[in-house]
Amino acid sequence: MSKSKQHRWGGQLPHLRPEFNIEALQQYLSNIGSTIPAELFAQVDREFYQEKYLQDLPTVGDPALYFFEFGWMLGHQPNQWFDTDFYLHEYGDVREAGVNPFEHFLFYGCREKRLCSVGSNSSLLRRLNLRSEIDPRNDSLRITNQPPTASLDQIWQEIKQRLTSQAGPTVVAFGHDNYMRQIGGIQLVAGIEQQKFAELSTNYIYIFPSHPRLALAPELPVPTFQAVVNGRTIPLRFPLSGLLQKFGPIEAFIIHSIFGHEPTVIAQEIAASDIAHFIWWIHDYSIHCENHLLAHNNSRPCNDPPIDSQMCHVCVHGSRRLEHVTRTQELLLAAPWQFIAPSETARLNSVSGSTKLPSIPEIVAHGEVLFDGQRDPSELQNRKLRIAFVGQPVQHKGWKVFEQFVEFSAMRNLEIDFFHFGSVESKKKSIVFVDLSQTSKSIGLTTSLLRQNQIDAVFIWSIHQETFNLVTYESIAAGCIVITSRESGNIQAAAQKFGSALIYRDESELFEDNQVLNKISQMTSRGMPIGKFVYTGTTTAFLQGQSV
Amino acid sequence: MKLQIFTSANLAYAAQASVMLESIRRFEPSAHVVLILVDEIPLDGSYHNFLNSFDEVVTARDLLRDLHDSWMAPYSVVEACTSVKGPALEMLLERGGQVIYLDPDTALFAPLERFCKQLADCSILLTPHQLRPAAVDDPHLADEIDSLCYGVYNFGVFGVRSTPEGKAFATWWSQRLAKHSVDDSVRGLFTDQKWGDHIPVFFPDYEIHREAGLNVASWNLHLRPFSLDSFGNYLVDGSPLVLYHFSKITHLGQAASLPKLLNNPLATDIIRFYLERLEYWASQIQAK
Repeated sequence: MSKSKQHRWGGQLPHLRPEFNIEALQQYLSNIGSTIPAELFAQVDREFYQEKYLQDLPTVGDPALYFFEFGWMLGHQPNQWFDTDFYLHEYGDVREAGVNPFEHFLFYGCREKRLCSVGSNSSLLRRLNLRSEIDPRNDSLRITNQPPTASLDQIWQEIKQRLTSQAGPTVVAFGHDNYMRQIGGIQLVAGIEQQKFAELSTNYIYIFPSHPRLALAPELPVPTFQAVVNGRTIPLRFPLSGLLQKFGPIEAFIIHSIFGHEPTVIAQEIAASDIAHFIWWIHDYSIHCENHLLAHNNSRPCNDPPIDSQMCHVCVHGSRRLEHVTRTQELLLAAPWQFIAPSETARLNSVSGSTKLPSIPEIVAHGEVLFDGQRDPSELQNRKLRIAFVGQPVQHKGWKVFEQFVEFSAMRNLEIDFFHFGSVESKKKSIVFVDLSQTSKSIGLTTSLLRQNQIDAVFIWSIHQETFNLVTYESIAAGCIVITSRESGNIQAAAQKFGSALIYRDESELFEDNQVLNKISQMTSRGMPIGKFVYTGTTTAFLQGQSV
Repeated sequence: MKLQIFTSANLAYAAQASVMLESIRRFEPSAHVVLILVDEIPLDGSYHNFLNSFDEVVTARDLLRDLHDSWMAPYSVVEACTSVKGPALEMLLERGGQVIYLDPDTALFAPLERFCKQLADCSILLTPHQLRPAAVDDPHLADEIDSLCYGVYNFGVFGVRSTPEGKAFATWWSQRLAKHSVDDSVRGLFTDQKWGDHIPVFFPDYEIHREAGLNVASWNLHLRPFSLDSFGNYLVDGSPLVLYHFSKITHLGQAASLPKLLNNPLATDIIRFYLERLEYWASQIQAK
């Protein structure tokens, strides 16, 4: 450290946070003045800085120089978009190095896609650097199909053996994966549906692609499928052509998901079969786009714009949409479909955009919350507030925003304990993990675990318009407040209906809300109702309604 | 006569030029696209597909012939690439019709319909950096000051018609760029661009193109708010998005643009798309 610098600092660094590496910092200071390129000074918003930090220091000449020499160590923001404290808190390596975080961001962090502040800035950067779990550029799942392991006759023999009554009605449902093994909303609904058809002595044959993918199957090589018959999986792969005709009269042909299937083959199959009801569930928006969330760039609802629109042109899903919709359209025109939407949101979205359905869906909710008690308002008196994320820690369900919310709370010393209920641990030390491996056989597990852990609020920040969202209903049944965005579809609609909603316009509004803790506490102090979520829907409810 | 669109770049800008070309093929498919290559054509066959994707490639050496070495000697890469725009324009105007120059870091998002229509009625069509003034207390006043330093009109996008005045401009400009296409703000010079400030005086058959959706860039993003129409198309200050100039969108430039993007988040869609296409074409070019 040079003598002049020692003099300037008087041998001590004012307001230095204890976590700084002093030696590294002093090394940095010894070089200051000769290492700062002019272009860095230009990144400091001098007017902003002067007004925010230097009103009482009229003798300071250049606010930018002051920032680089002193301000950054005081946690000052150089401009409106860079949050010095956030950057240091977020990135331990920068903190350890003791370097100016802003300089680090400009030289390295920006290129390394690091975030420069909490809230909307980071949201912007995320949007610039999208690489989501459902990124269609991941082609590995698209290009192959599994070869068959059984002929048509062999699989028919296997299916026949599992039918409970040769004379009873048969229902055939198509889904995107094996609902017996995978966890998710559609899978849970299919499981319940099978049980409800079993109660009606109806055979339930569920066919899913042997190569699950969030896209239509390629036409070649010929895709193969597997079947679950009355809840028992047949471990054979077979081609679809010619199979449906062997079932004889089919009471209902149900599509839960078109993903992994080949629309042309299905159209041919149903044309050659004896089917009474054609039912297509709007669990998602896969009729309208390969991006079944209808989320532009996987970041916000797109509202089904025209395929030749600029929105589609610049969207990561845009280049595949025309082919997807054209192929799906073929199947839509192949039968007199009755569409079922699990919520008003799903119904509206499916008929209000550019690729609207040929008829308006009926609404059949998957279930309802039945309340039978009330939470003890005094629960909160002797502990911190508890907020949980439920489900897979993926971006489109809002995990990133939840992580940011956790950071936001830590930075502001908010008294909150955070939990993650899921089947895959996120490895975040500041979030308590609770194992939640749910299948249709453990209905109510989420509600009961939320209650057991005395969770006050659940963070459900889907970036798309959810058509139903079981987690929302299970959370409401557990007496939890639902923190969500205005764009979350049925999440906000259901939470509002039950008076459990804490709704924000967007992430910025959430992160700017200093009263979030008080709001949750106030709502909780009313004694939120508790109960259980009961499945009432599925195709059986629809068909019974029709027969009435 | 077919619309001619030309760009000037060296091979380091191949990915950018590829994105630009891809967008022209989509939105102006009948245009004749010329690359002025400020580089030698590699003898090892690399960049073969890139170079073949243009309708015509003219190297700076072929363009300048005997003058090439002395012309290029004092210039940096940027200065060299901008200086050859003059002689290239002269050459293309001899063929007649309309000639549009696009920087390699631009991309079309719609046809250049209104631009071409306006160019049909004048000899030179200019796109200013700023279309309207910022408020006096707006920190973005700095962008207006920048325009005074580096030129009122952006020469990353302009059009010239093959008229006597259009050709006279090309000759005059070319002569100036032979020696004075330097980045020397102390002397009041900034490559090819600052010379354009003389156009309203020297070549009165010029017009200013005022479509806010054309030549949107970091230097004017604060005055060009993005929105969406009911057909899922972007509007820029109420005008359809036609052309974005992706100058300074990486590294420091991106950081500098963040404050403007914060207030104009829909523009992020366009930038993300561009970064993705850039990544794609960079990988394609590397793979050759």
